[in-house]
Amino acid sequence: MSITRRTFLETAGVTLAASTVLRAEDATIRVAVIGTGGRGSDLLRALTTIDEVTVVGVCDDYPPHLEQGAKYAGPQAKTFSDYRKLLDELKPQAVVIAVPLYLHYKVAVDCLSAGCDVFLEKTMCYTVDEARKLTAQVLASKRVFQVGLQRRANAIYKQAQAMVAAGMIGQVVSIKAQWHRNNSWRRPIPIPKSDANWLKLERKLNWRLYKAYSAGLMAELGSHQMDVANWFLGTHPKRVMASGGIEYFRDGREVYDNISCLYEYELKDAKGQPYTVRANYTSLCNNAYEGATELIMGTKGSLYLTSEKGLLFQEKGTDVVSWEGGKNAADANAAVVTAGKTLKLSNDPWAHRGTPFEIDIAEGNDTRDELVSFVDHVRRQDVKTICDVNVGLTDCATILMANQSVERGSWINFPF
Amino acid sequence: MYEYQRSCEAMGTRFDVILRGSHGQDDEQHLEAVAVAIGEEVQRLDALLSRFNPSSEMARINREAKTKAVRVDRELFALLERCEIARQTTNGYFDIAAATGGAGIALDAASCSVRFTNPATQIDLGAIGKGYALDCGFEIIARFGIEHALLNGGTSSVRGLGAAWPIDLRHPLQPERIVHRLDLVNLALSCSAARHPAQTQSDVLNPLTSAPILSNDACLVLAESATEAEIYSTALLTMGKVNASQYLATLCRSNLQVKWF
Ligand SMILES: NC(=O)c1ccc[n+]([C@@H]2O[C@H](COP(=O)([O-])OP(=O)(O)OC[C@H]3O[C@@H](n4cnc5c(N)ncnc54)[C@H](O)[C@@H]3O)[C@@H](O)[C@H]2O)c1
Repeated sequence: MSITRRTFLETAGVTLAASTVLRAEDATIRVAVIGTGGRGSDLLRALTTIDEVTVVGVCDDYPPHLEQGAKYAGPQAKTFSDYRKLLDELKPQAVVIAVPLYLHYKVAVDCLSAGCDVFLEKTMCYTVDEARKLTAQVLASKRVFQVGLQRRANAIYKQAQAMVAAGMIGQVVSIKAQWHRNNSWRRPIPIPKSDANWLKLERKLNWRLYKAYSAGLMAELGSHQMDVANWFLGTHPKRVMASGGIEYFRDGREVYDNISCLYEYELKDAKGQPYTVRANYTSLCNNAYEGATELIMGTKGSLYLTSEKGLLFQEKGTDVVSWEGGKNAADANAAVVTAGKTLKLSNDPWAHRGTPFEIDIAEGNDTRDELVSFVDHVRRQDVKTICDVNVGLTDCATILMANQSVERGSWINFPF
Repeated sequence: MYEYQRSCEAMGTRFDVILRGSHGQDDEQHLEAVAVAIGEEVQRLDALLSRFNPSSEMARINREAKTKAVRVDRELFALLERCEIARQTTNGYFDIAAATGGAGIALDAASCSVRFTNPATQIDLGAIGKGYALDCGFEIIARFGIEHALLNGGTSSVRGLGAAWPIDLRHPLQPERIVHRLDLVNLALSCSAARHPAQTQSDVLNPLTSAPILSNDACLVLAESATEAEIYSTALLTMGKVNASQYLATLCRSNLQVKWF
């Protein structure tokens, strides 16, 4: 199947700001990274490619991860196992926080109190209560604050959001989003199960699988995609009904290995009439079909989105009806029919999707770009970041209400 | 003893991981987690090194380094340094800028930055990426107590750990023909062929002329790391059999094993 490449920049009537270009003569910004595990290392490596950044310190309380962080950061960076010591000693201008979810609130508040600008990984907090308190503290502190939902920095998503806002897919009627993968979602443990320290290390490294530290698939994966729904629809969901469980990976984990959610958003149509958009969200750990994707369905078309590719499928029959032969007809308004011949359509089961248009802007890397943007806001002391504390709060409430619905077995309303 | 296999797609090809348990770490749960971690590492490196993926660091360097010094992370800088050293030790025959006339890359260790001294320069890590990915996979294998493992990147680069892994080598132009059988023991192999049956000319370029090499040879190199094996299989094939044997004689303490087909 051939794909027509076309850029929608002009069509949508929006110009996208390319990732902000910083000038080399700007003073360097002293940044520290707290938590140099998987994601912290990604962020750290990206930070070291940004001209204006000096990584002054790294912190992790697990020695092998700290060692790795030190290697990526370079010899100018000091290492710490206690982040409070790092804050005291280095007084960094900005911190990047990538610790497990249950520590987000505490570490972020301590960093704000130390006067730092803060980049905090998603999901913003472990509870809605913490997220509200953090929101108040961020706003009172006037510090620059950004949550790590990198789709907000991704050129494809920015373009797609502009296309939806410009009405290119008509009225949004439904959203289907998923993060499906096929593996146990578990990190390897460097010591054998027979070792007395195994369980301690298992809970440390596989914190995602245990409820005391993690809010499971919704927080780790769903937070990115429900933020896309909130962003594109311009509001938060009204309520959710969700079902989840541990059906396959019975390995001692406490968080669900699959979840299905039905969210309802209340919107108003062009005539001001209220209507409901339903968003289906699923996450699986044992089937990877269609991976991590969002499908935004509108009356005129569908946007199929991933971090690397964005496709627009126009709805059939919503554009000008094209008759066979059209332009060559004797009378331009005549319907042309071919005697004795029925127009044959393809029997390809995917033919209904038609040929998609591709959002043809893949330059840039969203993880690096979100940090470039954060650093730029720090430099200008501009608190209006691309993913501010209110976005983080709404996202946090959106995903935690689904877990609550599973536990209660009932509809849960958005908490505020 | 339990054996676990898993494949993933990266760098335009397939990577296979075969792990055998040891030291009480032979349960499926552990081996799967290690294999998944290796697959994620290979995919991370693909996203870093691919010149075709416009969001990779490599693509950013290729876009920007002709106009300014581009700051890169320490891992990528170390890999580029290694390539530069390989270029020098192979008398210019291993060159990641072969397609654009060779050399032309200035590395500055103090600022960890890359600049192209020739505005036409484009880096292609295709000849080393798979080997480097296998070596990074091996670091994970070592960290998590696996003692018997085989990693395969696209069937042209393989690295084995522990007891012998039997490997059959197909002839590049006659896929039905097995030309060599070897037992891989704690070594890596890389086999570079001038061309495949479907190609009329080689996609291996002589960096000194930027023209495709003209031989029909294939060069197999066994070395201690997959990165080294890839550097030498590419460089020797480009030199050609005769020059390569003269060159190898000048290397004083080489652990390389070389075979031609
Ligand atoms: N935006 C994304 O795409 C993305 C991807 C992965 C993870 N994340 C987020 O990043 C965060 C970290 O996830 P991860 O996958 O890197 O987990 P991880 O377990 O690999 O890393 C967390 C690190 O924090 C360290 N740590 C724990 N307590 C600490 C403390 N008190 N002081 C200092 N260090 C401490 C751990 O030792 C570990 O190295 C999570 O919030 C996760 O949701 C975001």
